[in-house]
Amino acid sequence: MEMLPQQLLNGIILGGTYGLIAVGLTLIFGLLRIFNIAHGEVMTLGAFAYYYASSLAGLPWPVCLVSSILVGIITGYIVERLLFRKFIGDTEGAFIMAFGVSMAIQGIGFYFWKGVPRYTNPPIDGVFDLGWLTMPYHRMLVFGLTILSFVLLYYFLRKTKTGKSIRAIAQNPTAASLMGISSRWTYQLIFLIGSGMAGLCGGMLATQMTVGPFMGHFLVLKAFVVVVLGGMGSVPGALVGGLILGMVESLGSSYLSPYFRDGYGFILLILILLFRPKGLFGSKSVI
Amino acid sequence: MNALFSRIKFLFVLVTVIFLAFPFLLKGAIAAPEIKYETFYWGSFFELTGPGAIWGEASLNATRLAVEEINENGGFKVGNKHYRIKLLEGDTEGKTEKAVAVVTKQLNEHHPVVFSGPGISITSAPIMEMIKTRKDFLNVSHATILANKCKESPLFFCTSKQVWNGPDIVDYIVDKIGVKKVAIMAGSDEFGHLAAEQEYAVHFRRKGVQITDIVYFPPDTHDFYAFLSKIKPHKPDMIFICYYDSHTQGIIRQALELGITKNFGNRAASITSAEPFKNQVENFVWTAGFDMDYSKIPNILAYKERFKKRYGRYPANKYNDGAVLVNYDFVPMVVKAMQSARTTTDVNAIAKALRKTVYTGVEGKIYFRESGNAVVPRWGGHMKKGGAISYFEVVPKPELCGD
Repeated sequence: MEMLPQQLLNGIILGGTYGLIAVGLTLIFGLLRIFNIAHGEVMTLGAFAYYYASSLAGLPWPVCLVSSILVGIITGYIVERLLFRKFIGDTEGAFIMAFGVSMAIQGIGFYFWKGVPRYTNPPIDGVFDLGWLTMPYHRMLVFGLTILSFVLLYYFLRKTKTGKSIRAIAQNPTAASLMGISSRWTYQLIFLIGSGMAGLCGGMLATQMTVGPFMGHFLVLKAFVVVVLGGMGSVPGALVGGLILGMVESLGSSYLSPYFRDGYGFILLILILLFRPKGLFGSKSVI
Repeated sequence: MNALFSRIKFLFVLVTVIFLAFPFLLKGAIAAPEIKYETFYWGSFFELTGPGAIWGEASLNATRLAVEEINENGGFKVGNKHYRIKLLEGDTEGKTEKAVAVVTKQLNEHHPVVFSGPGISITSAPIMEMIKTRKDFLNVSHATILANKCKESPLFFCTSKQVWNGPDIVDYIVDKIGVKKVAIMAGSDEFGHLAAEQEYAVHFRRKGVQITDIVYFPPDTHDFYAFLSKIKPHKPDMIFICYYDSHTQGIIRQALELGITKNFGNRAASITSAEPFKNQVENFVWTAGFDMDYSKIPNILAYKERFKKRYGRYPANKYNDGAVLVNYDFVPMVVKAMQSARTTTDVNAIAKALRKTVYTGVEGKIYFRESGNAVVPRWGGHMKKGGAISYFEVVPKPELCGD
């Protein structure tokens, strides 16, 4: 039990990461009904952008994060414009397309970057250490930035005119179009926001783990669990779902068995869906 | 007179031209018969994507280079037939089911009698089962995790446990660094379990080292905090990691952040994983294979130039190019065995000849023990704080070769 505070803290920090991966996905999946499995690869590209900006160009970490966001947005723009636009409304076609994009980016990434792990310096040094509770400052910084990202995104969607447009399209595309809101532009914006969040997430993860061409692939599957757990299209749901999943995995791995780590999340998902089929926050107009 | 002189001059020029052209005319007239080459299919199954890709790609590069060099030098001759090798390639992704699919496809299409692979040991097991069932191909592998299972089939050859890792790395860690308590971390797959329990835990205990924890993590783990938090209270002198580069780097990073220890050991990664932390880590000891960055051994230097010519870069430690070098030497070794057995199709005869083959390759003298374990000269690496790297030779001890 002496490890409990540490494991809880580990779980919260981990959960923040999952939430950040999931929030971009929940926008795209929840609103556009695109099962974008390539989301993980956008995150990977964001991580590499951070790596090159930080380790090779020596830029300050806020600039590196901005570069990650920009890479995510540009990738999202290209992918949406050239590939996904035709599949709005066609869930199956979009999934197959996303799968192809994911494989293509992984293959190209491996061709250029190989399997060599890459390391980036943490944005800040030092460790918060009470003996029974230890956490590096950079992980706390990343968690803080994660919460800030959620708050800003939520504010954007709730309080700004553009955010209200997005919510209007999500609620009733036909009515929104009749009110003069361009659905095509809004869909593109949703995709860009989601991809930008993926890039940001990749940049933040680059400060915590090794950067490699397959890093996003493993994490995006967790993100889908979080999206369904929290409710499709729900920004608060993505955060809460992520935190829950992170804590369950951390505590389960420590006190039960590490082999079943992934299983804890899925069991939780099944239980939640049995009682709340739309997820924790999925019953209302979500964003 | 002038006419006569002109005629003489003409005849002189004609004779000179004929004299100079004679050898070429003769060559054309009795030109050597064109050699007819048959295709010898050489199978391979390496992980070219996925977490073990750094091993698979390096292994394939070494194998491919050997094949191309043999072909460029006129192929090889067995009996009265000349052969050129066609290397078949397939990506196993580090997954056992994919490895089986890759091998099966190659067998169905081209019936190779020799397979090289894998890069990481985990995909060896199902292929070994295929060999035991089908008995129509042999496998030369640098996979060590099944080294003591080589004797289950005369058609399976791999590098001895002793040579890669195990005892001498542990002996060095205990004798030179003075480790008394160690925590072992490994991936929760067959490779991780075998490496942790059968290779390292055994030898750490042999040397009287207390094993504080053996912790397994799922192979797709990137965040090791939960696992490291379990180890921290036991204050190990060293964390020994039986898994690959990306995991090792993540563990070192996070263990340093948590302040657990500054000593790390590894089996299955390269110096790449520890180098970013060279100013924080006190000691990092790993199974190095052949040092590509600092070696002055003439054979290695020559190999580096050939590699550069083919691939446009020098082989490097960070790509594990030295660690998998035995794949390069295995190719001519098998060719030599086929020549000795005078067959390219009788798998059992080739295997028998291979067991008797002693080959001096890039790495030095390689030979197979009766069990099928190859004895290969090897090195361990030691990085000290500040980044100074030294290498120590791993001399195979027969009693510890896993037979």
